[in-house]
Amino acid sequence: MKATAQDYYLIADGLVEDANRIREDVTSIVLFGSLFRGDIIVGQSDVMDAYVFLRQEVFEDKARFMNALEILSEAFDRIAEKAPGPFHPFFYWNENDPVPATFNHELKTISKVLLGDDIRNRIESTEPSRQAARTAFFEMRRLGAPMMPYLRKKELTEDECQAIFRILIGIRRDLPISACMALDIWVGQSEAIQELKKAIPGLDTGAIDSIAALQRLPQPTADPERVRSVLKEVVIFVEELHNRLIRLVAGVDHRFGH
Amino acid sequence: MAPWPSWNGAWPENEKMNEEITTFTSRLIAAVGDQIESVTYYPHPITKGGLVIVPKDEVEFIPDLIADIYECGPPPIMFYCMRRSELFQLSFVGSFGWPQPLEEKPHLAFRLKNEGVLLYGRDIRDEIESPADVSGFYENHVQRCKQFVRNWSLDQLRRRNYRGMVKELERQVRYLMATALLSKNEWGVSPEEIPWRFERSFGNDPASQIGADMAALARQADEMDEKTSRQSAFEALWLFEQFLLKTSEYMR
Repeated sequence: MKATAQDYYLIADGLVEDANRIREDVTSIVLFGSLFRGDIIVGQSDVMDAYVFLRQEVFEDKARFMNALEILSEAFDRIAEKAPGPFHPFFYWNENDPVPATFNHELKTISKVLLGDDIRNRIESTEPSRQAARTAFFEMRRLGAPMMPYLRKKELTEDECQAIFRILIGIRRDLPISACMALDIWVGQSEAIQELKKAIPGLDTGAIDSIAALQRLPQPTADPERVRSVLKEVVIFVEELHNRLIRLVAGVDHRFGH
Repeated sequence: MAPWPSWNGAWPENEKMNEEITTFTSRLIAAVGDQIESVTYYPHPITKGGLVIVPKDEVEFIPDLIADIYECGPPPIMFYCMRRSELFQLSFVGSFGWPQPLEEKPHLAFRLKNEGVLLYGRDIRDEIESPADVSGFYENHVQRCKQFVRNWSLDQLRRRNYRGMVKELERQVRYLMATALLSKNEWGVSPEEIPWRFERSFGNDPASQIGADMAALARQADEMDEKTSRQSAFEALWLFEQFLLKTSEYMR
C-alpha cells in the first residue's frame, strides 16, 4: 500500500503511546520539523524530529533509567519498522539541561507539545553552544567533500544518485539555517532563505529551489544527469555562500568568538 | 620545494597506515602537485589522525581539487582541503552528527600545530592558532554527546550491535576525559595515558571509577553472549550518563 502523510502522524501517535508507558518519567514530548510544519514529502521527509524530555530523577535512579531506556528503545524500533522514509531516533533529554543552540529556535517556536507539560518557555541554550552553532555551516561544507567525485564520474549508479539526493535534501533543510547562524541570525527553516537574502544582497539561492524542484518529481533520482546537474549547482552555491560568509564574518571576527 | 622535509612530529603507530599516507601523498603530488601548496599530517588522541591539504591561492574552485584528491585514493582517515586563509576553521570547537559520533576537533588544532608532520610544501604549522579560550569546549563536547551519542545508542540497540556499543561508549568517555584535560592545558596525552592523567588532574574519584568500570566492560565485550552483551550495552549507557553527571561541574 502506498505511504501517505497520515503514516507519519501515526508514527508520532505511536511514540506518545510508548511514552505513556513511562508517563511518570516523561515531562514532555516536543515535536518539530516537517511533521509539525505540515510540509511532509512522503518517502523523503524523515522521522523522528522530537525531544523526549525526561525527569531529572530518571538520570539518578538506575532502575528507572534502565526501564525508561527499554521503553524508548522499543519505541524507536517501532518507528524504524513503520517509517515510510528515512528515519533516525528522537532525542531523549534531561528536562533541566540546556538544548543545543542549533535546535533552540525551532524547539521553542516552531513546534508543538505532543505529551505532558509545555516546558518550551524554559528551554534555553548557553553561549558556548551558540558559538559552536555559528561554526556549523563550515563543518557542513566539509562534510560534503565525499560528494565531489560525483561531479565528474562518468555514470552515476542508482545508489549514488540516492546518496546525492539525500545529501541535497539535508542541504536544503540545514544549510540556509546554518549560514544564518554564522551571521548570528536565529530563525527557522522556512524563514532562513529570506533572511539570508536580506543579509547577503545579491546572493543567488536558485540552487535551493532546484533541490525543491527535484524533490517534487515523482521519481527524483530517475535521471542521473539531472541529479548531477543539481549537485553541481548546489556546490557552486555553497562555495559562493562560503566565500561571502568568510568576507562578512571572518574578516571582522576571524576566531568566531573563540 | 622539497617534497619530503624532515619529519619531526608524531606519526601514527600503525606502520601500514604510515605507508598508506606516504604513498597517497606521492600519488597526490604526482597528479596535482602543481595545485598544492602544502600537505600536513596531524595525529589525534582517539582517531588515526588526518591530513590538511592546502591548495595554492590560484586554485579557484576547491571542489574540483577535492574530486582529484579522491581519485588518488586517500587513506581511510579524515582530510581537510582548505585555503591558507581558511585555516582558522581548524581551530573551531567542531560539531559532529549522527551517524558519525566522533569529531576530531577541538583537539585537532593543538595536535596539528604541535605534533603535525609536514609531508609536502610549505610548513603551515605556525599559522595554526591554538584555541585561546577552551572554557566552553567540555560543555560543547558533553552537549554533542547528549545530542548524538544517546540517539546513536538507540540505533545500535535496534541493530543489536551491543558489543560495538559497549566499546564505543568507553571510547567516548575516554575522549570526554581528553577534552576535559584541555582546560588544564594538557593536550599532548596518549590514548593509554588519558584515564590516569584525568585522575591526576581532576581528582574526581567517582568519574574515574566510572571510566575504569567502562574499560573493564569493554575488555569483556568480545567474550559476551547475546543476552549478556545486551545487558552490558544498557549498563554502558547508564555508566556513560553517570559520567556526564559526575563531570557536569567542568562546564562553565
